[in-house]
Amino acid sequence: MTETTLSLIRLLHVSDSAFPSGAFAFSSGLETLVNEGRITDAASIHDVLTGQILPRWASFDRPFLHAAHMAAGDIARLKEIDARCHLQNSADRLAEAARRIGRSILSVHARIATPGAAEYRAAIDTPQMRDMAGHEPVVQGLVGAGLGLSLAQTELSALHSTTLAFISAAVRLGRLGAIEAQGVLSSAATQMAEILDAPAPKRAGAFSPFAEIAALRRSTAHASLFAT
Amino acid sequence: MTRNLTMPDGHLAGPARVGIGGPVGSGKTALIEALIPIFISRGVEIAVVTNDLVTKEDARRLQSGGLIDPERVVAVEAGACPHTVIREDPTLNIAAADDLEARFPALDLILIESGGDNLASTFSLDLVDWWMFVIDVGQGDDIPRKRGPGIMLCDFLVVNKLYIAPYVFVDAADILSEARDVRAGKPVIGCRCKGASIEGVPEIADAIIRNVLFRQVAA
Repeated sequence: MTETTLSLIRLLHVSDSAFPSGAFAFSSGLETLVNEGRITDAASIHDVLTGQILPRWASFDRPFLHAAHMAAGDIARLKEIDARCHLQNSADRLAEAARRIGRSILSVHARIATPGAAEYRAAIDTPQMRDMAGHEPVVQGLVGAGLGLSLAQTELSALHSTTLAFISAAVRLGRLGAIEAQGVLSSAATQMAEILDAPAPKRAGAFSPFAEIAALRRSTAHASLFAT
Repeated sequence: MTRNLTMPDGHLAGPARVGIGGPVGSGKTALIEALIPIFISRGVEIAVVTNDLVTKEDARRLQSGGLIDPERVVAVEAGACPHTVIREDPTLNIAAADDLEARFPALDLILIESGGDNLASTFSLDLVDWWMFVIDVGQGDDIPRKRGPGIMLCDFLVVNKLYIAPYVFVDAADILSEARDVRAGKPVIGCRCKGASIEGVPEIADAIIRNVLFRQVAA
């Protein structure tokens, strides 16, 4: 077996929607948009995916993932990157979601002995760090490196996971059929490829106000299917 | 309980984790409310994770009930997938239990209540060490015969609300007998968690203390 084959197998393993990450509990603001009647069908879900979710990943998550992949094994540097991700994330609900998913992924990789995962988990497993470290892109970067995935493979896996989580939420919110969902995914593929083929931004930043404000606006007084 | 076991990820084994699953309205939260004072009286340090379907109702009920420090109760919003969050992807619950464990190092036991689900609901052993399934007589006398994985695979089957049997025209003794038959010797207990007198709950606490915490229980 070649290294390429092995890394492809690992890529498929960690990119599978069955890989436990807790991501199923979050909708990135979609639930609010659906409840308010702003999102009603596959076309509007496609618009939010391609106009809000994918650009936010490309401009905000990707640079942190990139930096963490480069810094894998350097705990102090990883903590710095994580801290920056915490400070720069202006949507607290999305930041909390990123930490809950990131910590879940880290927990799984620590249990299956992915190199670097248990060490980083121990480094951030303190009361002081609980609300400011373990963000999803940082964890994805460090475990991707630990698994021997290239940076490009790690980015592909992360973008795929983000996209699938959003589409899965849309299906469970009843605004997208399971087969319609495949059409939305298919039509988003070109933009996903363009994002991955472009260089990662040097600095993280995000402007996806439609989804971000929806996530912030989520009422805690009413029953919700999702935590964002 | 032995506290110095080392887990594969290098962490020390912490408090035991016990799952409580079962259909909507079967009395899972009421059972926890009845168990809490018994555990406290027996010196067992506990905390609770709840998994409400779409609200934090169960967590708020426990937090405001005065039975337990509200800080020891956390709600996991499960995204309307009660079985996913305890079986296919239990990571959010694992993280919630890990957080409780870190905040309360003296814990002996973490009870993890699932959201109300159907008879196919089961717990991942990644999440819990031992789990109970709660049904109630009001759901009909054919529930044990339906043999869902929850009924068949749990470590302990609890048949709740024995006292309402006459009002829903079922025979509680028959339900218990049939449940014991289908489980082929695995434990089954009838209980009453509310009202003037509780029934079966001390025995459930004893089973957890004996079988999960490995402590002696007075005969």
